[in-house]
Amino acid sequence: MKTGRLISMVMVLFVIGFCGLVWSAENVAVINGYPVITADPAIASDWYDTEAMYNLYSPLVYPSPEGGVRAHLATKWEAVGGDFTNWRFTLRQGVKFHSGNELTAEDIAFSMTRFITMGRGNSGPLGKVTATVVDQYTVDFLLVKPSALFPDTLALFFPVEKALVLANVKTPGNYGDYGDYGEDWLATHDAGTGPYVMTSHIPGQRLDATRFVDYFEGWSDEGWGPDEVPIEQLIFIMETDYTTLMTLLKSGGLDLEINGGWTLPQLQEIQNDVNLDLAIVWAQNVTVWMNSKVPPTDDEHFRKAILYAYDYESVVGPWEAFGNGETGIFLPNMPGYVPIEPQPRKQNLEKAREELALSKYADNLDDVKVLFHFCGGLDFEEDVGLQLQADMAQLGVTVEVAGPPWPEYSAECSAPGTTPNMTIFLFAPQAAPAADYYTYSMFHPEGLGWIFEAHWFFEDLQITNMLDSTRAESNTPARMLTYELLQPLIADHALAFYPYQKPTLFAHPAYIAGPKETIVFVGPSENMRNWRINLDLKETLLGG
Amino acid sequence: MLTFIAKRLFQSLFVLFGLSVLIFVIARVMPGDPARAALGHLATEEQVERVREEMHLNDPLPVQYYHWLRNLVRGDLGKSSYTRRPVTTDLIQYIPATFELILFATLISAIVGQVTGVLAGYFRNSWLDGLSRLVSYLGIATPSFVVAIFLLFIFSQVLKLAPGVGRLPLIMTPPPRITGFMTLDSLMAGRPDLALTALKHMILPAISLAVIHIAQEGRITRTSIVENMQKDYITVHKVHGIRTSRLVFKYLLKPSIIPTVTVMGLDFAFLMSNAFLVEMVYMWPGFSRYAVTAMLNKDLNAIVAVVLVIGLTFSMVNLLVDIITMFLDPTTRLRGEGS
Amino acid sequence: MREQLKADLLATLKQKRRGFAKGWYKFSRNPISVLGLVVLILIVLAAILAPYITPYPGHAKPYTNFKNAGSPPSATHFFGTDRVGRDIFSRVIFGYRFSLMIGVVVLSLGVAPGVILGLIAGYYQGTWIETVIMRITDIFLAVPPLVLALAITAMLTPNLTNQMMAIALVWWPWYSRLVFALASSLRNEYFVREAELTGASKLHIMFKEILPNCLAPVMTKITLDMGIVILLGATLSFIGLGVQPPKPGLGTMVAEGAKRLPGEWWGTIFPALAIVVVILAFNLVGDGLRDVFAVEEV
Repeated sequence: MKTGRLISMVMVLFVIGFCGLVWSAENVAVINGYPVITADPAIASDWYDTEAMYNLYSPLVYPSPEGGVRAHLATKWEAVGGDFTNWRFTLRQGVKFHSGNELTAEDIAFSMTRFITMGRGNSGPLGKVTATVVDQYTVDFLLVKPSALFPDTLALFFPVEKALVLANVKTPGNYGDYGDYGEDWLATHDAGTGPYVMTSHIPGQRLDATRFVDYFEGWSDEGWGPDEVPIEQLIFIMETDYTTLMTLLKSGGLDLEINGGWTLPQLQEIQNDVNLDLAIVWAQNVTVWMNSKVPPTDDEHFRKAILYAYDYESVVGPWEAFGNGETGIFLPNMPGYVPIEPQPRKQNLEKAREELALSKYADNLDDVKVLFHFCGGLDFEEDVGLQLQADMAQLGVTVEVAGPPWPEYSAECSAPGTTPNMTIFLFAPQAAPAADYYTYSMFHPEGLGWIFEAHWFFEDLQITNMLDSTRAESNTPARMLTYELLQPLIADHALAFYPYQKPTLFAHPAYIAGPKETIVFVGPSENMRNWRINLDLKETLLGG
Repeated sequence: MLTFIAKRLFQSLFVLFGLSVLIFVIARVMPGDPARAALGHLATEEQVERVREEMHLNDPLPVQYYHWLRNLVRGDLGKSSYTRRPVTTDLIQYIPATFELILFATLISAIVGQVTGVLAGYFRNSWLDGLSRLVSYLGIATPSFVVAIFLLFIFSQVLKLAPGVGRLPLIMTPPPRITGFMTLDSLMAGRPDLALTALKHMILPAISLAVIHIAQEGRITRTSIVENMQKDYITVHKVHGIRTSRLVFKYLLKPSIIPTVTVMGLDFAFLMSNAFLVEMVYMWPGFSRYAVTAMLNKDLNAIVAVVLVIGLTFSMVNLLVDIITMFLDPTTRLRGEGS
Repeated sequence: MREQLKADLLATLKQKRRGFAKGWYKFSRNPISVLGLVVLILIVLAAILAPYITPYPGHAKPYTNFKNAGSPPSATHFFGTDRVGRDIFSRVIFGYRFSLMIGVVVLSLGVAPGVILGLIAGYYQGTWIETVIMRITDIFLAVPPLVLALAITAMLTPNLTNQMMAIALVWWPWYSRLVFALASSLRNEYFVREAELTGASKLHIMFKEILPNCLAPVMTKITLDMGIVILLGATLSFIGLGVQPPKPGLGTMVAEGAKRLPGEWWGTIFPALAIVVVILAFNLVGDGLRDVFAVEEV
């Protein structure tokens, strides 16, 4: 029967297709990361594109495990003239771009000018910088305001290859002779010196990269086991469905997950699975800002009431199995940290009621409404809001919880009048691996504004002056002392409460190992040069 | 007949024009600053003002519309504030994925709908008929996202019979893009295995889309089959001992097709709007998911473009259905020529 | 005089009652439509009495209990608990309140303008008035209702009120189209011509002569539309542009629970079933009504 044979042929094809190999003991790592829209290091913003940055590019200086930065593309630097406005950086010689050309001061100066002129991404913390070439391997950076901590801010400055970018600018553009400054081209192309070379990039969907054998730091085996080899190929995917990701993780289709959107039950499942590991990398400082310019949070007593009303233990309880809970104005493992009020961090409705009675809204609590916003789609943040809502309901105060999508949420927080009463953000140490990132950026009138200063309180001049002095102080113990005095002063104004120090967890199968060193900073843990793959173990775990 | 087509075309154009005005006005009148949204929060005030001038946001509304229309004719739909690319590029990238899915869904619903309708109509009042009526009631009452979630849950997650979300397994490299249709591109690249995988990934979303239309088309086919079965000429054929299959295919199906075709045309538009939900659930990188993302992120240029594309497709499909109906049913043709 | 009026009134009432009894007889011939009606009445009652009949009415308001989060269906929680620890069964019943409210509000807002415009267009058929009204209707009907409603809600702040406004705005054209078709054919009937000849005002003709004859199909459509409007509302909430969490909208609950499939399936499946049940009930009743009115329609 002709039809019968046809049917069986189709069935066979189906079966073959069904068994489609999803894994193989190839030296490939499939990594689920954040959606990389543009691979341009001058536009990459927040921590979202650091997975591309740290692999395709090298920063001028590299975060070090002890805090601060160490030599990388630059070998040494010094403040010329003693007033911390003029910094001279000396470059390493023999660093190759992916194109094969050598990195020189021209590239650094061009990249810095480009970074500052385009004025986006992570350029904010640097302020206005003028770059000049001194000689082939020396660059000068001139700042507007003196800052002893300037070198720290360069950990997210990734130089690009000047000649290559200039060859690919589009005219006309926003930058006069420089056209669009290569923005369009760099979105999907690579002009870097990093350990991996981009082979293809579909914005928002997939980024492929292959190992750069001539990477200037080399590929030493030191500290790794005999079967652990560098990963040859990277495939960054941007999947947001965690049920799919769990299936892939267990079946070998996913080798590393850095976006961290697992639900709590899923994390527990991974923890209990012998063949899967959770790497604890940097921590995120969960911060709930209280807007001091919009009623009712414009009243300090009202804000203090919120601090005491929140039940710190309920949301965090099941999460504490994964990491330490306490946190404050900056992360506890950063030098200079002191715990701040209220201690202990437990709900205290008595004190909350006392503070409410002292506030100017004591007599009309029924009329006040507190708006609590979080970034739509994030469960943990919503949980904090819901918990606060339930807690404040016991005091007779209405809290409205809403989760607008990120662009809208971001836009709301750009001005004091439109920022909601309470906004929750997770601040991971980025831009600079030190306390300054939190203190100056968040509490100085010239800080980063926007979500970093969603409390909009700058009236305490003592705090402003102390923050200025930390920037000008090169003596580390003195600076640490200033930080220790600062934190209680800031906490006294009750501008935020800090529910939790949420650990970032990278899920991966047991045959992937890393990162080599735990650095309290966003990005270095995603540098795949710090990870190794054990091909024999992979074959054993998946083949069997 | 040509006058009829011309008249309808003119009507469609007018409606599209009106739609463009409507959606444009709504988009511009709504609160929010498109210039700031396009540049991001870190841009300086001068940069924002410059972009505002470029986008003619300070001009009166009719002038803005004129500029927008001019750009539209040139194929420039503005830049998406979310993907930061020209909207036209986004559309070209995402439309084929949705089209492939909708075509597959239409195929499934046409075949299954017709078959169930014919069977139900022919064996009317039997248990088969009752079952199909029950299924069609459920099909109409269930929102497409519920169907999508149910199917995903049961067939992919619990029974593990079907693949999960997406067009292809995540680590498979997609074939070089020629048409944008995953199945065709894979075949053209000489990778039939890839085409088969792509087909498998389309099954659940296509069924999710097709369910409601199977229900509707089935019912309509059934009704018209029942109606036509009463007709005299059928009885005559039966008496003369014609084979049942010939009876069904040649004499029953053809007149029943006309109302079905009309419904299919209408359904196409609804397929497009249900695709919004199915693509969301199945993470399908298509036009509809892009539309939902645009709406959730208040990407004004993309929203306007999306509404227009849907309006355009809807008008064209309606026109096509009218023309086909005229071919199939001589009475409509005559009536059409009369007006 | 008064005696005559009273007699007339009684006669009309008797006629209406007889008409109603006749209608009910026809309706009850359809056992599944009756089933639909029963289910519908139960749902409406449950929604109205929600605070009194649900085991945990407080869970529809601000409430958290993370220790009890994600527990499966049990004797204490019929539908299990969600991610925050709230009882899903109680929230579903409260969710019906939102669904029914959306249906009622949207149709109240959308039907009247649509019907009136359709009447006017039908009466003035052939004139520029008809062209203007019907072309505007065409424009609103140029895209599927979901798309337009989504676009409008997207550009406003997503919440229940805006969602209802948007759907109402998108719904009236269907009624003007329906009534236009009916009115324009009725317009040329003899009784309308007669009324015109005897000098009745245009308003009288439209509302007293034509409108009553359109009521039956409009009523049927309203009942069927309830289901569709509720579906649309659930869809908007699912996408995230309707009822906002933590309020217990049915579509919102399905979306929230979908992230936890397949492990915590009860968070999605039960609200989804609830949606299907209420829409099905309205559809069954609507079908029954259509059969009742079918013979009356000429």
